[in-house]
Amino acid sequence: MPSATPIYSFPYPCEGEDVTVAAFANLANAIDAKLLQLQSDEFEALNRFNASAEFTNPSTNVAAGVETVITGTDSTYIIPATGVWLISCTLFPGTPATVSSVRVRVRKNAVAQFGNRVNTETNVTFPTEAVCAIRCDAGDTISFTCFYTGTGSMNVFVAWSAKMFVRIA
Amino acid sequence: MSDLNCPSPSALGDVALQLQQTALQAEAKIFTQEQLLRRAVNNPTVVTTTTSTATGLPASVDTPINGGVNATMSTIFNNVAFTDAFSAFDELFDLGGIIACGAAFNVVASGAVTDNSLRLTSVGTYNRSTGIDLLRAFYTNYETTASGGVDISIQGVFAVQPGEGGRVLFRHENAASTLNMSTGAIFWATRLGDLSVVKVV
Repeated sequence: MPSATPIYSFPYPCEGEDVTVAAFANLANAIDAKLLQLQSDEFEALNRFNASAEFTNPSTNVAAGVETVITGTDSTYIIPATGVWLISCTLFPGTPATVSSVRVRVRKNAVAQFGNRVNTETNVTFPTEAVCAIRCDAGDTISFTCFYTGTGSMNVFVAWSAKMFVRIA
Repeated sequence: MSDLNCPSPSALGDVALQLQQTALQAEAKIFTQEQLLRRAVNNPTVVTTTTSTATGLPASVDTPINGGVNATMSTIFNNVAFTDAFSAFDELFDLGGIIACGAAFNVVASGAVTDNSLRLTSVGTYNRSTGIDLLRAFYTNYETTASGGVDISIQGVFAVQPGEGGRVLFRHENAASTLNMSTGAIFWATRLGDLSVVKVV
């Protein structure tokens, strides 16, 4: 009755058994399969997912007091593999009639995860960044929203990056 | 040259034993390589979150918030076997090395907002024995009365000596009321690599 190693179950014949060529082949194939698996793990580890967009295009028009979803090319990112992802974004606001604060938020599947809100009471807007590590599952959709307090409306762009920290097999 | 045993001419009858030894020796070698691979690529990482509102953050005090303050917490991800969500962020810094870390949270005044009052967040290391802050990254914000709460996010990368602690501090100057930290605050830390001293010759 053949046995196997305790960790990877490499097969081997027991002492006293008739040994055929199949025993050699089975052991060699089992070792080869494990080495191929390690090679695949190494490749995935060295080639972790990275994605980014310089700016969403065209700009998104945001009215004062309205949480607005950023639209346009590269305004969303579909997570390709489950893991812990570092998501960062920068909102580039326009110049509305008046503005006292501007907020950007990152969403996962349309649910807000984190964001950043800045005080702009001098009516001078400036880029607003938000960054955080969150767990994402394959297929999750990352998107962004903008909200500001003031009057009028403004056009905004978003730049973002998504980097996988840890892959969850 | 491999140190896997080779069969001897006088041991042809022990072919089964030889194959067993070969299998066990190959397993031991591959296991070692696999552990080294996993250690190299599976960066120790923790991500925790609050699952209730943290209430009564006082003004003019640097409050550590990575332990949830008085909120309940849960672990989103942890590959370092820290069992306590409240202390996992701090404990990861025990490993030392190059550590990236950060936090994202929302704070809302429990009562009135003092217009344009300070919201100061910092993340970094501290001496566990003395409690003194060491390396820190700061983010400064101010809340307007029109805001209705402030989203905050911060990150930093630090060279950490083994045994140092890590924490996220929050301070506000909203004299009109205390602040509450909303459910869903996120605290994260990941060890990017070893501390190394590069000698230039």
